[in-house]
Amino acid sequence: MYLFRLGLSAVLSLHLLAAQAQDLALPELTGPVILTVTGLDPQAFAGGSITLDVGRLQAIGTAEIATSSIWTEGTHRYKGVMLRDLLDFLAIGPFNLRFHALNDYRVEFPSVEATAAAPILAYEMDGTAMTVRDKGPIWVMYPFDDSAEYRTDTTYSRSIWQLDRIDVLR
Amino acid sequence: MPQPAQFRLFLMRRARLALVVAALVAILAGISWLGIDVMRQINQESESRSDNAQWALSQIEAELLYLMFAADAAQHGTVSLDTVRLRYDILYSRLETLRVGRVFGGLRETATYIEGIGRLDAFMNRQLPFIDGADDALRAHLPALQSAAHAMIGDARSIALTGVQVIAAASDRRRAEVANSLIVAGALSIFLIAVLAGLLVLLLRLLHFNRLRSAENLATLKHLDAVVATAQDALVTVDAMGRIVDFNQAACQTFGHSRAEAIGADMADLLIVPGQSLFAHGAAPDIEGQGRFRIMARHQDGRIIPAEVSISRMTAGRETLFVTFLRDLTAQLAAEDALVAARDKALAGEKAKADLLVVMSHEIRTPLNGMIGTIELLDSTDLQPQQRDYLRIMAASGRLLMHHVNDVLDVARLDSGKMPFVPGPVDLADLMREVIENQRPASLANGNDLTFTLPEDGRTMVECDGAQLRQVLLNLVGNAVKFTHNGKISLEVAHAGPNGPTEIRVRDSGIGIPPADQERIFDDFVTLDASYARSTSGSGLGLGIVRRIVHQMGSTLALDSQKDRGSLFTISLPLRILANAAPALPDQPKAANNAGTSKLVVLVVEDNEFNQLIMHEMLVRDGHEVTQARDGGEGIALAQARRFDLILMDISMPGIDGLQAAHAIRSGQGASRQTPIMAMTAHALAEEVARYRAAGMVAVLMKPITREALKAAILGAAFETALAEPEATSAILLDRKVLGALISDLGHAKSRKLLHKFRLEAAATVGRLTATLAVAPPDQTMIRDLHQLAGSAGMFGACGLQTLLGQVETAWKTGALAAAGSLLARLQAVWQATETAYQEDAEALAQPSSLR
Repeated sequence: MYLFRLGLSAVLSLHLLAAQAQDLALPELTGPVILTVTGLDPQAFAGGSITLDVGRLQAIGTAEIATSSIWTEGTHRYKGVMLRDLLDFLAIGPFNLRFHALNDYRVEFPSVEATAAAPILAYEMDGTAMTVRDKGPIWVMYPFDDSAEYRTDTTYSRSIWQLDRIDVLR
Repeated sequence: MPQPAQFRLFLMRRARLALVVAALVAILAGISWLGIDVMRQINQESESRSDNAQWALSQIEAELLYLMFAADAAQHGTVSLDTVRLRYDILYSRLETLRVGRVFGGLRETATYIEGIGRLDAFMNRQLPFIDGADDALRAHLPALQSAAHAMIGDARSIALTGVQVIAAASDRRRAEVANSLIVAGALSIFLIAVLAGLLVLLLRLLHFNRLRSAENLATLKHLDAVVATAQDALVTVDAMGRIVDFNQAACQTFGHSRAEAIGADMADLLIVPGQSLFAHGAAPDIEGQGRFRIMARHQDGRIIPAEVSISRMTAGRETLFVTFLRDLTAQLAAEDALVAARDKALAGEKAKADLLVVMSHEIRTPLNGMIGTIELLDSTDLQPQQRDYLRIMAASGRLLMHHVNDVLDVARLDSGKMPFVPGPVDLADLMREVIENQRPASLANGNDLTFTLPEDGRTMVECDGAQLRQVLLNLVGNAVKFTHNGKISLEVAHAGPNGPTEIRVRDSGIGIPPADQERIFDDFVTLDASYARSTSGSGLGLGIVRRIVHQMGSTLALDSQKDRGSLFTISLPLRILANAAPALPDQPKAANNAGTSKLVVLVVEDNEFNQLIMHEMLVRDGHEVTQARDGGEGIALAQARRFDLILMDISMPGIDGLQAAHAIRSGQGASRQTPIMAMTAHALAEEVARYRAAGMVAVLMKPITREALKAAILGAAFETALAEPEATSAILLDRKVLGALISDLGHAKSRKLLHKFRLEAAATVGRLTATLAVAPPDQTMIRDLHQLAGSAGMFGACGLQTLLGQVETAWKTGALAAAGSLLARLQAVWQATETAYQEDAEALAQPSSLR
């Protein structure tokens, strides 16, 4: 039991160390901040939050989806970061997330439901950065065409656009 | 290989099964499709009904208000211009979504929505230069922006409200569709469940029936096993290869093999005496159309078992089995043999008695014949009146005695079947005239009036045994004459219908018969009251003979009588009525016809010197010229030398008999070859007449020959029988024409019975004759047997047998014993061949009967 606890704490501390290291490894902000993640471990992140621009998100990883949606006309290509990758990168455990939009739209999202396939935090549509008028800066996008699983009310409600902040509800 | 019908059934079952499965699959597919459809509809609904969409619509108004507030706040410096721009951008993105979003596709069909969006777009486009422009310009524009935004609130609201209405309606519609689909799916499900339930019930019932049936089958099987095991007959079941598959207890007992030994063995090898075509090694019994038959089976110890077998084929699954029932006939055959032996013994005893009677009567008749003839001759000599009186009494006594003897002889013959019914064309007119003439003297003596009546339609030709019918009529009319004094006697013939029966009535006005005696009078040796007996005389056999003959003819005899009033005897005869042509008598002796007016030159061939004397006297007294021959040879020589007008030929003569002599005269080139020849015989069996005719004789005179009979014969009025044209039959074995005529005359039952009797007797006689091959010379019994068999053979169409027997008889009579021996050696074979021919005929005639 002791050993297990020791092992667990060792893994956790290693994880935190890695996160800090990666945080440090993130490039300097070069463009406008498009996403702020709050509610992070204050010991790992200064003030418990981190700000991210396109350059940083691209450093974490990029993912692309081509799909239609109920809000758009025709199929479009979306580019962004896989939410799962972001959560892993930021070492966010199985907590609920709260997505905030520019117009104060809010929806809660259990982080465990972020998979390796969906959703992505899209910042480009058809190769162009999304402005607020185009539902930018970030649109939580699912590959709706791939599976009926994504075409549910819950998914639609989570496909929040004009996302600018993720609050980790620890 | 399944039979075509079974195969068809199999296919039908397959097709039915496939149909059921297809129906189930179709129902399942339908339900699945409906389920998917419902899911799709529900999803679709969630797309459009989503609060998301409603939210998005209502947010337009909210965002418009936010923009308005931002513009207001910016004028007071509370918020920055960037906030105004952000609010504008958010509203812009919302409007964009409303314009292109799939979820709002339904809304875009309503005018209010399109127009509202259009006006909002226009509003946004008007603001765009200021938003994207410099801060000063935007700041200056803020009041205008605020009021313009305020003016748009109504449109934003109406867009949201339209959305609520349209989405609600679409939602209702989809719900209805979903409900509809669910109802159909439900109905299909219920139907499917019902079908499955039906199948389940069917399955349960089938299960139930199968249980019942298998229970029944088990019971039947047990029952069958019990039947087979306890069967009295041996039951051997073989497969298609003749191998024994079952062998019951009785079979073990019958054949001495244990069941274990028998199972698997070849039936033909194990149980059957080889060489019986029905059973062969390695094959199932050949049973096509066999029915029951006899075979020789073999006991385990080698004993031969005569057995009766019947085989039935059965199909068990794909296998064909043959169930063979074998019944051990050893005991039965022994019993049959014993029975046959006993019957033969009894028959032999009976026959011996009858023979004695016949021989005695015959032996009495010959001397009596001589006495009567001599008395007649004596009567024509000079006698004193008293002597003539005595002579008359002697003659009357002689005739009476002769009559009695004849009666006894007739009864014996009738009872022993030696007086068979020989049909031929008979003219009833001639017959009745003859009977009436015969009885007229006695009738006149009693003071009676004797008349006869012919059929009204004039059809007098019938097919009948003339001799027997004559005897019946003579006896009946004779009876009537005897018991009627100074009265009337009539003989009437009438046909009851176009095809008979022919009724002959003998009516008298005599003393009548009391009712109590009416049954009795047809018995033998019956004479009524002594007082009547005094006035009459008789052996008491007359009516007995009538009864016998009438029965033999298949006719009925009725009596209606009242004491002191008279009697009426009615015979109803089922006769074939012939066209009334004159009977064909080709060799009608013209000379004889002329004899009434002219003297004839007559040759009498007779070995008996008394008879020679009598015939000579009778003919000479009638004015004819007579030449005598003492035997056949002399007769032939005389006939060769001289042309006679008439030849009277005794039949039984030593050496060349009458038949041979007649044949020789007819077939020779002598002077008398065309002279009519009449046979004289004391024992002419009816069937012998054909032989006489074949030998060329035209009539038969029955001994004792009276002067009247002789006169009548010469006048051509009393031919014994109208002789049928003989067939050229010597080459053929069995003349089916003769047999056919017999059958058509007597009917199947009677003719078969007669034929059966003949076959039995022929077999016995042939056996006796063959057995006594070595005996030489033949005794009297043998000669008579042979003589009679030859006659019977002729009657039943056995020409081959008849010819052979004739040859034997001739050989015997001519003393050629070696020749007779060699002829007799062939007898058995000829009889066998004849018997086979009869069997074939019997099969063709009778129903195919199973073995008895």
